[in-house]
Amino acid sequence: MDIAVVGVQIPPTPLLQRWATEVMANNKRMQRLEIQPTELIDRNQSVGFQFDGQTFTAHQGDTVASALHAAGVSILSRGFKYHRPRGLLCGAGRCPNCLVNVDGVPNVRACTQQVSEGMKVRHQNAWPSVNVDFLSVLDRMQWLMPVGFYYKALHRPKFLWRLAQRVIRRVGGLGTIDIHDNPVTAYHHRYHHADVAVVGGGPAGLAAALAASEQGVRVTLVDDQPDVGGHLRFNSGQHHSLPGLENGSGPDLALVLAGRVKESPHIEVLSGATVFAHYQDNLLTILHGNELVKLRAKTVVLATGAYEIPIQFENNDLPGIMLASAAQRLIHHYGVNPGNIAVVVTVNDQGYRAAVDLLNAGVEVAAVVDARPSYSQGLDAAETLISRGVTLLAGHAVARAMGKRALTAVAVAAMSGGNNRRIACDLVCMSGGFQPANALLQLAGGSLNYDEESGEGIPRALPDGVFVAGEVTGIHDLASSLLQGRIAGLEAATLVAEPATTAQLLTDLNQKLSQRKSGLPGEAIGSRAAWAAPEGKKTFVCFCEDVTVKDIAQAIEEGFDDIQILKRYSTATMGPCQGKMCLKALAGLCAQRTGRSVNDTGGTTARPPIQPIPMAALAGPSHMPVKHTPMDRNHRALGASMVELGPWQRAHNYGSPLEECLAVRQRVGIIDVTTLGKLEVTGRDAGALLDKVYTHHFSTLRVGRIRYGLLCTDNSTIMDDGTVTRLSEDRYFVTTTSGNVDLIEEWFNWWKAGTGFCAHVTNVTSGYAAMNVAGPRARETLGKLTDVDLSEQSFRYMRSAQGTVAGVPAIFLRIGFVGETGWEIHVPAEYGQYIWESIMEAGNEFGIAPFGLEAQRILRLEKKHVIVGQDTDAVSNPLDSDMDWVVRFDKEDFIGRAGLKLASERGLRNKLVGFVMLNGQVPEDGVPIVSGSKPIGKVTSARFSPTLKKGVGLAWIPADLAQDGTQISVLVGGKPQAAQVTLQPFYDPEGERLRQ
Amino acid sequence: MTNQSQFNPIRRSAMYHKHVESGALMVERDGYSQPAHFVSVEADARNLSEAAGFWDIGPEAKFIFKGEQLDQLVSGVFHAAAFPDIGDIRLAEISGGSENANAVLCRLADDEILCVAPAGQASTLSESVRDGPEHCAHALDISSGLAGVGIAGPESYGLLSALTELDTSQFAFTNLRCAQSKFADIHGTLLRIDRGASLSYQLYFPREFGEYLWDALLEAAGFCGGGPVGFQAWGALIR
Repeated sequence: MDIAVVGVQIPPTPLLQRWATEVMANNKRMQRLEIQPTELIDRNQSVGFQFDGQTFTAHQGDTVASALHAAGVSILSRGFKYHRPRGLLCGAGRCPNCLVNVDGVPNVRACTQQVSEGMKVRHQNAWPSVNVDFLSVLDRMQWLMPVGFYYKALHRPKFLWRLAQRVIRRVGGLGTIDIHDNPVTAYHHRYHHADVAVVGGGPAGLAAALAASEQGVRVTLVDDQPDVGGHLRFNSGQHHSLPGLENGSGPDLALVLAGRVKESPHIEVLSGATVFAHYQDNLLTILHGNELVKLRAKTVVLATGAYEIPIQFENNDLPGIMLASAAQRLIHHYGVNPGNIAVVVTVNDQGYRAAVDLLNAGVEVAAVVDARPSYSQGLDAAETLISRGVTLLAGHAVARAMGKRALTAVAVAAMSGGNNRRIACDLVCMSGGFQPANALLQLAGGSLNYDEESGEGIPRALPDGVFVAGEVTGIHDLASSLLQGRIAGLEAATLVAEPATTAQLLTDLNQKLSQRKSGLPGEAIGSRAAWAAPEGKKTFVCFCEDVTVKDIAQAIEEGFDDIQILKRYSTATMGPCQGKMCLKALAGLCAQRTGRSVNDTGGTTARPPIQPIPMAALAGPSHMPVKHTPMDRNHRALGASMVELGPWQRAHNYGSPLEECLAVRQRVGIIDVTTLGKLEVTGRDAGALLDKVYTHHFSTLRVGRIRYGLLCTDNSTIMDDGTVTRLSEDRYFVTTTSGNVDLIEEWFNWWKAGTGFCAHVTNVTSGYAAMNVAGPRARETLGKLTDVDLSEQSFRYMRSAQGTVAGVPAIFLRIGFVGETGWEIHVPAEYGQYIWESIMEAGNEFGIAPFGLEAQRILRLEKKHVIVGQDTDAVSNPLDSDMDWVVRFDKEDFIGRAGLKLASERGLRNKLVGFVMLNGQVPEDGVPIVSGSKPIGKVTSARFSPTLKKGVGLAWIPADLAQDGTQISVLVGGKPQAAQVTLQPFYDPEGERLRQ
Repeated sequence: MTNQSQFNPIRRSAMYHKHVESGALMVERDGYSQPAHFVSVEADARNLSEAAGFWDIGPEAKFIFKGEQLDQLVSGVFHAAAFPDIGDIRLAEISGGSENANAVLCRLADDEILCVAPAGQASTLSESVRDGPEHCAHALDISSGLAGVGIAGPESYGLLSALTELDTSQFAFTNLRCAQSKFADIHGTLLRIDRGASLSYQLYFPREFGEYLWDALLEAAGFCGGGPVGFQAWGALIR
């Protein structure tokens, strides 16, 4: 057995271990009941699992909590703040009372987690064990931790809060992830679609699904319980005259409805699935086992039901005190005796029904304590209890529960006053009314009214395409729920499929529902609120955050009397239950103590996720889109250091960028430039379109010629650059920067729209593998492979040809970004690897070397070639970027012309220039150019030039300094260093090598 | 100038290296080295009949037809009773092609049709569109730029639902429909062309994402069942 202290695994001493085990053993007292007709367990199959190192045997279908309860383990966890022992409370996965660590995964709800063979369950947030927790000393130190203490204490002196923070984090909180031990759980993400999504598998949800499916639409029913049926599965009362159903008990009805759903070919059921959010356009996010399902539905029916909630009295958190429905689940689903002697505490008729279930299971019911003056007239369950000798105490409430680690008795008093009456018991079943599960409705955009009598949030307005049915509407009557379900299902299907036959049916159903509602007794419509709670020291409102009635009262006294502020200050409703157990009580207390109505007080804001889910479930798939060039494997085989450039994987270098530069300057180099954006612009008006978007002329470009192209935005700043090659009269081959091709394609189409141009733009980036072969031996290398005449006279600089290389059709562009004789070769992508290997083999005798991005950056810098985006920014234009030679004002119009004309007339403020460092240093990209201590410009690119053996770069400086030979100061290592402005390229300024 | 006949160019699909790494038996087919089968032909066939099998259809011929006067251009290239509406697929015979020289036409937009044909029809198609009419419409061979996977089997929907938000269910995405959407976060074009009773899809996407998408399919298959299949198994499916 390991002992967890907030993330630290401490092996306990043998003595400590024995002690903890003995305490656990002494705890045993429960047992299994006889076989229950509705139980979910298979008693013929046993499953062994461990809890804190002790081995237990469960039945197949048991949850961890039901199995432990059956084995007499009543303490499952410890409170968040005071470390008080906590046992089963809701039994339905709503509350925080049974959070455990299962096989390394923290914060798993034991009441919904099915046991499996060999499962290892551990307690959390207690030391040394959940039974004996030394940190429970905090239970006696409430005076140290009043509500909001962390806002007002421990802040002086300053170091104190840092210390306190560490202590609070260690002793408070929930389970922690052991990053060394925690298994990696992979969650599968998938999309799903439905015409109608029904959330909730209770009677209303089942009725809605069936009604919708009868209209032939696709229905997905999502339910968070292991099997559909909702509360019917443990509702043993007899029901009569239900719409469309035979009479029977709850489980009988559940089976009938579930059977019909199963038979429907149009309904898909996701059981054990939690809808944790509703987003725009009816996108529901669902956790279903290890799957995250994103369900897009045309319409949604929310039949999410209502949560039974606790009642506030002192020590209402003792193990043995649970919701009445939790006890019913134990009995009916798992055949487990919830206790021996029970007191049922209620504010509605549900408590009486639960008491009958307890009696039938063999539990002695010592009393039913009802806060109301009397139970509802004609309540069968009350008559049964009286006939079986159960004491009914109407107009009474529990003042206090007694016991240390488990419940031993309760003190009951009349609401009107008088002495307490002690009733010995080991089980208290609370039925504090219902809180509609309306968080999804709120997320969908629905609004609520709060009913003064019941305190429940009732839907007031629904968004389009969202319908509600059942107890979420504040109605707690089975017949009404079924009718509402059918109506909602029909309306949802009608919106999708527009069947012709539903109008009359809907009218009839609505009429029946009105009749049914008008005939309901008051109690069935709502349950009286129970927030006139005593201010005992440990009267808990929020079980997640250990917030008491006294805390709430104090917070309100301090001025935090708005429900939203009260929530933030007290932290009530902010724990794992997200207010499911406590929001109604909080709102009631707030209303009562501020003298407002519950409706004026309102509720807190629902936010996703409405139910805790593992972070791992939200994490995306293990892959991110990655682009590989056809030669990717070659680069890796050559030992390239790969970098991500956008989604592309590119070779940064092959070991030594400087050596790679020298290879290009002295021999021949090859670089993979497949990532260049490539567009084909075709059609008789292709040239006119290019004239419109580029600053230069292209309709006059002769076939087989290449021209550098610069694109400006409509405010005349530089957008992108590349080359434009005319392949034939009506076909241009355009290259763009790697990251901008989609934008440029869109840009071309945008400016084409409305012009009437016959021009078509196609992105062919994916279709071509491209490589640049450059250097004094490039011609010889390629000459061994191609049928194209590469001689200086036949294939001149800025010309193109279409030919064959190593038997593969190719486009040859004679351009020179790196400043050497070279060709950019584009071949069909499927030949990329073959061509790369062919060129490498052909160039072997000439000392060919691959070069990467870094070498390319150095080489182009030596030629003072600009990289758009690196050397230019969002305000750079072609004139100040030293590219005025590309701008043709003789054209009637082009995008950006007006702004450039203005800039040209106004004169330049700054200019992009080259510079050479005078002292051998190399500045970093981005450092400032200074005048004294004042920054006057900045370096955009700088590298050590292996050819010049100096630091060179490009920089923005004031235009009046942009003269050849001007000395400027560049900040290197924080100190100004001298550099000289150079307007010509640093290498081969006349371009002779390019043209050779 | 060099004699080009001395060269023996090798074509590789975008997923070639993935196939080799997974131990597929690679065989020369349509000028490409393609996986004949992965584990075995029988195992591949089981993926197709019981779960979801997927295979590399990168070598297929793919052309894009664009322009306002698209229909005039297309009618000169194909024989078909009618050309598809947006989102529809029609099978059409290539004019001037050999017997059974059929292509699949998918209308992506008013002025855009994607044409897919068996790899062997690429040259026929190229010839057909070369002398296109003088309409404002254009055809472009984009075979090299699009990678593709075929997906078939009863769990195909499950496999696709792991990749795309597009509703690809039998009810919403019926036979002979096409759509563009995101698949594993990349843009793709999905065609549904059932083979007999077997649910069958073709997915085309930019070639540079080939390995990425293949990995995404493998990961999805790890949850949904199924796996890659070679041409021997899927060839039997489409016969």
